Amino acid sequence: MIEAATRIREAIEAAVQGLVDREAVVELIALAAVAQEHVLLIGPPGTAKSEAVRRISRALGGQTFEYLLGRFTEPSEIFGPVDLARLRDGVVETRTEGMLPEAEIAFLDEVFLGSTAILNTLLGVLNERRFRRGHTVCDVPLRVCVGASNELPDDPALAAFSDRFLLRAFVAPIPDNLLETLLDAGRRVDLGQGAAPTASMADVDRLAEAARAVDLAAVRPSLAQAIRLLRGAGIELSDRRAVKSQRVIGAAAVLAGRSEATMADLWPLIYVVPEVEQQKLARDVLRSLLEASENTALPTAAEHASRGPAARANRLVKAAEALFSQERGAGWSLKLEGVVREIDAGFTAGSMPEALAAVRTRIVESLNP
Amino acid sequence: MAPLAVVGRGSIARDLGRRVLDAGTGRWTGCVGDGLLIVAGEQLPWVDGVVFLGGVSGSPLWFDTRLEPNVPVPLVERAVARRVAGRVAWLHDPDALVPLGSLDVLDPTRLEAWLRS
Repeated sequence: MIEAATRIREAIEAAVQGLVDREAVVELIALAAVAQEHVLLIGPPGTAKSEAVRRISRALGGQTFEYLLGRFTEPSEIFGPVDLARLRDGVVETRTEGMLPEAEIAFLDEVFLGSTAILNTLLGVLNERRFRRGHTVCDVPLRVCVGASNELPDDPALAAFSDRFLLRAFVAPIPDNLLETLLDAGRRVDLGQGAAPTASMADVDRLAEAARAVDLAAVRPSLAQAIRLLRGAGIELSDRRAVKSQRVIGAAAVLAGRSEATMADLWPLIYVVPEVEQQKLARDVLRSLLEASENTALPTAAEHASRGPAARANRLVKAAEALFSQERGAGWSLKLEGVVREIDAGFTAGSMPEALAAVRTRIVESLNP
Repeated sequence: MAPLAVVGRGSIARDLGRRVLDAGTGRWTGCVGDGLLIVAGEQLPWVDGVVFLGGVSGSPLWFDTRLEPNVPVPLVERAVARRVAGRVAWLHDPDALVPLGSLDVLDPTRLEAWLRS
């Protein structure tokens, strides 16, 4: 399990190279794959949602299917054409080669524009991992489906379909203070075309099995308390979402190398909250409960969810280590200064974890030789 | 809180002043005082020992980003406003309220003179 978790962590690190402010999205997709749940990305066009999905798919070595849905998209464009040879025999079978029913990772852009026929078939695929169309009935190897949309649907008829995406990430355009970084990364960094996968679906499956076996007894009372706090704040989680949140908590634990969930692993609950304003409120409501949140494989997602000092410290340690492993070219010391600035703006000497204090010492020595 | 300004006191203020001159003063606003330098803006300069100041959105009261007042910030704002009008930096160890109304683009000549003084 440890080796598989390490390879998944390395896959995530490879996938985020050159991405700006999308690390949490990549990490969430990996988390969902291990939890065998699905992710909905909500955000305007041009915010690198599809690029984030492609990168983690490549790094995980999964068979990927990607499609941009429209109002007139035919089911055959997603699931495959009808087998005409079999049709002559009066059997309606679908040829699924290279189509979604054979995908291990699926990305459906503008997912809510799909027709009723498409969404009804997708419901079975997402829920039961079974594809049914005409005489074709088969299991699908899908680990995670990522849906994307500009906004959540208003139509109540889409609510059941939308609810199948347990994890929600709301993606906003890059903030002003990261624009220079975005322009620099977009110009310089190789987008990883043809980069070899660093993990495999076998690693995902191994961790998924371990995640199902994670002991949640120690955190279940705190999880129940968290749900009560959310309800008290007017954030209703359906019973299904509340129960299923345990799957992503277990997945977070195994990705962090734990076989028992701890308070450090409750943070995925924030991403189970369905709407963006509710997620913001949930972070405030659960702030003290999530203070211990941290995850070495998913540092950014843990920090974004919890705003907790442990997760922030973890991310800063990784950021500094990544800089120390790079060549000291133009701008290197400015980037290092940026990291120590964030450390000193966020931690007193007394509140700084040991690993962060050690990294800070190294940074100060590098900047003041 | 996102840092809005950085403050150095004593020898750290001088180190900060030299860092600002190295980086080019036109990027930031600030003010100098007796053993004190405050620099405000984006991508703030750093030297070992500085303190970063931030404020709750729209608040004129800026304080150490690592700290959280144990009373509601609006109450502190009202108490401070009785003594000092406008934007104020609330410093600790030693405690001080520094008016930030006169934050101008840092003049290199003036900063050099202050460093020599």
